[in-house]
Amino acid sequence: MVDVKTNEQLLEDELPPKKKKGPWTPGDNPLTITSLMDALTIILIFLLKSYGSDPMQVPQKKNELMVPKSDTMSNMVECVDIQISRTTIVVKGKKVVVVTNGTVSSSDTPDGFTIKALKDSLDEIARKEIEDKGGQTTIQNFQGEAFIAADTSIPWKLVNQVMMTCTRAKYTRFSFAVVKTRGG
Amino acid sequence: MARKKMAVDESLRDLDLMPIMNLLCLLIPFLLLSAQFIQIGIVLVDTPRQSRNQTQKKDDTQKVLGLTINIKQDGYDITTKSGGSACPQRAASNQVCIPVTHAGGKKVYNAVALRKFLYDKFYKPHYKNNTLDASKDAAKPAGSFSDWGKVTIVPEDTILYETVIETLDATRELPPEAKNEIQDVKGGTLACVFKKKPGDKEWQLEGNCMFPLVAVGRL
Repeated sequence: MVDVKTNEQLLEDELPPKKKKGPWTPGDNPLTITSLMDALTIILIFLLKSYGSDPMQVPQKKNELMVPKSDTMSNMVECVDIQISRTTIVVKGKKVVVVTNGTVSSSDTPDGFTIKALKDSLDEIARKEIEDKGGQTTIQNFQGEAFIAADTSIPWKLVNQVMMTCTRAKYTRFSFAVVKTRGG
Repeated sequence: MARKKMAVDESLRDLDLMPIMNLLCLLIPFLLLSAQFIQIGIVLVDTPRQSRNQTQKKDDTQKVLGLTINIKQDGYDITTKSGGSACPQRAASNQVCIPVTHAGGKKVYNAVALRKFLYDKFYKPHYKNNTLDASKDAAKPAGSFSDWGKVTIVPEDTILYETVIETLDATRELPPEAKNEIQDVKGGTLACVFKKKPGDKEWQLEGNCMFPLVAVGRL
């Protein structure tokens, strides 16, 4: 009598024997973390590459502070940072003036140009900078540099008022913060 | 025999990756917090007064360009100190040099046209006689401009900050056609970069620039 096997039986013969049933133990089938290690290593390299080495941070907040885009390739250096958002003017992380509808109140600008609270804040920072530099720099020959990060929708009048106030506080050179659209 | 078999099993044991995993899991949140997914750059500007103070002493053979761009509600108006309006025909009919366009119900300032205008009208005819050498003692050829590379931008009060930045870009960088038309394009790139080494007081210009020394504000 010829032993005839069905297709299912032939397939079963080729497959490895079924494993024993019962609760899983660590020795049965050890967890392989090699693929996880690979993924983590790739993420680590990407994050190391995008590690921020800029001396100052410009937080981008929707409807608050979105700096404009530019094709500049110049990088920032450390200086006094002034952020002009839709609601506030911040100097070195400290809120100094409230902004409403792209303007500051007339009580904050007694002469129409100089923002008083900003001027006081910058004077204080300039004084500290002069102290840190030692004897060579005096308030007369001090020339500071200001880094202005303003929201795209801020009217020029407000930026101009900030620049004028900076000039009166001896911060005479300006760099505007932008989001780079090309590398470099 | 039994001892020898045991030694082979020991050497084939899996590498313990758990300490490395722990380290990676600590590093990733830290790096995520300090990662920058956008790159912040800068655009350097001066106030008109500061720019005037830095202008080199003009000798008798030199001219003054006095290039000024007024950003008005209806577009860009360009003037020079010597010749008045840069587009006299349009100025005669009380029109600006480069009018705004409208796209999607929004007013758009044509920065591309402005860049091309500045390049064709002011940069291309004069760049051979002028240099952006910042050193005050550098010899300047006769007929050159004492304020070459400088431009004053005067925006109206209601102009948005974004428009001012677009204008700054248009004045600083050369248009793409300059790559074929300008003979001495340095390094084959049209980028204009301000660089400052640690400890230096002044910024240095690198690359190929059109009018990079910008003063913004009223004259």
